[in-house]
Amino acid sequence: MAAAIAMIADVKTPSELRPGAPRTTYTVGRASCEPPPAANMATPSCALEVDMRSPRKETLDEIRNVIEPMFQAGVTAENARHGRKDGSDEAISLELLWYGLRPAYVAESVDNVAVHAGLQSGIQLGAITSPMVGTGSGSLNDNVPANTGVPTYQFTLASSAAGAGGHAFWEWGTRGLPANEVARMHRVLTAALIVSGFHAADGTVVQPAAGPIGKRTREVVR
Amino acid sequence: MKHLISSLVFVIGVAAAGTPAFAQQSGNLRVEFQGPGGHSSGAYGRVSALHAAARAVILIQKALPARSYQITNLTGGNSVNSIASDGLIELRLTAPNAAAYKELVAAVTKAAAEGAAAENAFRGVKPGDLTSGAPATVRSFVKPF
Repeated sequence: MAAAIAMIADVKTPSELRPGAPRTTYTVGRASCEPPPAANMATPSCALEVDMRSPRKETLDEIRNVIEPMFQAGVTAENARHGRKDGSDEAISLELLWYGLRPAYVAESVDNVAVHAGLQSGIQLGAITSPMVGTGSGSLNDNVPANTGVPTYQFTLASSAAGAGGHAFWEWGTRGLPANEVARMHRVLTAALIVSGFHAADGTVVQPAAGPIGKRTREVVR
Repeated sequence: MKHLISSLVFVIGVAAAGTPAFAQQSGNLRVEFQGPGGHSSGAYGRVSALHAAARAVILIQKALPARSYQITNLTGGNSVNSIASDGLIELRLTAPNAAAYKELVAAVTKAAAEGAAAENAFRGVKPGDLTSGAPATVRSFVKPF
């Protein structure tokens, strides 16, 4: 496993190799080994997890095609160190599992119900003053419906809480200003209700802003 | 009677093997790596303590004689989408005597420092650099356990 990680650690991504290429990133986020069952016995198994991201399928495939062979190359290197051929008795073998795919997607238009609801709720709550849509990208669970043609919109919750060290062992944060924290939750719920419709307390029924769009994710998978 | 004799020979053999002319020294080392961590994409470009640990393992394998060490663990990181802020190598060293054992510990310490330095160089950071107020480099620490 160390051989594989050490190889991956030297990878340069498309955006590091070619100025202007879509920002592409990776890391070996986590690794662990099964303890040897007894003293002087070898480690029975190890596992590592790699994260790869890019806003375009082409560059994500490019980094994947560079990194994926390094798993087997690490296995082969370790087998060779002990004079073992891949696939022989007592050689190390590899199990590869791809998970957590959030497919890349580029919106062709921002004229859809999700963007309207996101902007309108922000204006309503005073979180934004102009209906501008950011051009950045993110990797969230809504990548999946977006990829199937269901409109989505990601907007920052803009907490006033202070913090640092995100995703590190020294991560910390403070309470945000309570009024701001309530306001940002208010915005999220407002956006959701604009899209979904609702039954008001006075009996008014506000219809959903849009009917069913596209296939459900599970239908696409099937 | 034949069985008894065989058993005796076996016991004697074990006793002889357990009385070496020179006392070996063995012990366990924990090599820890610490880095700034961060989100895998948002903080991309920061050094990884786990990448540094893996680099160090390769250097340990090159520097130490076969059979003088056994790496029993390589681990680190807290989630797949985080740059690992921690890395850990655990290994057992065996040397023919105390002086040779000290040399093995020194070789491991050197390999750990070089593994961290290689990761720092790859990401273009140097001692004293900060990222979000935290040290930007990977540092290594070697401790017996």
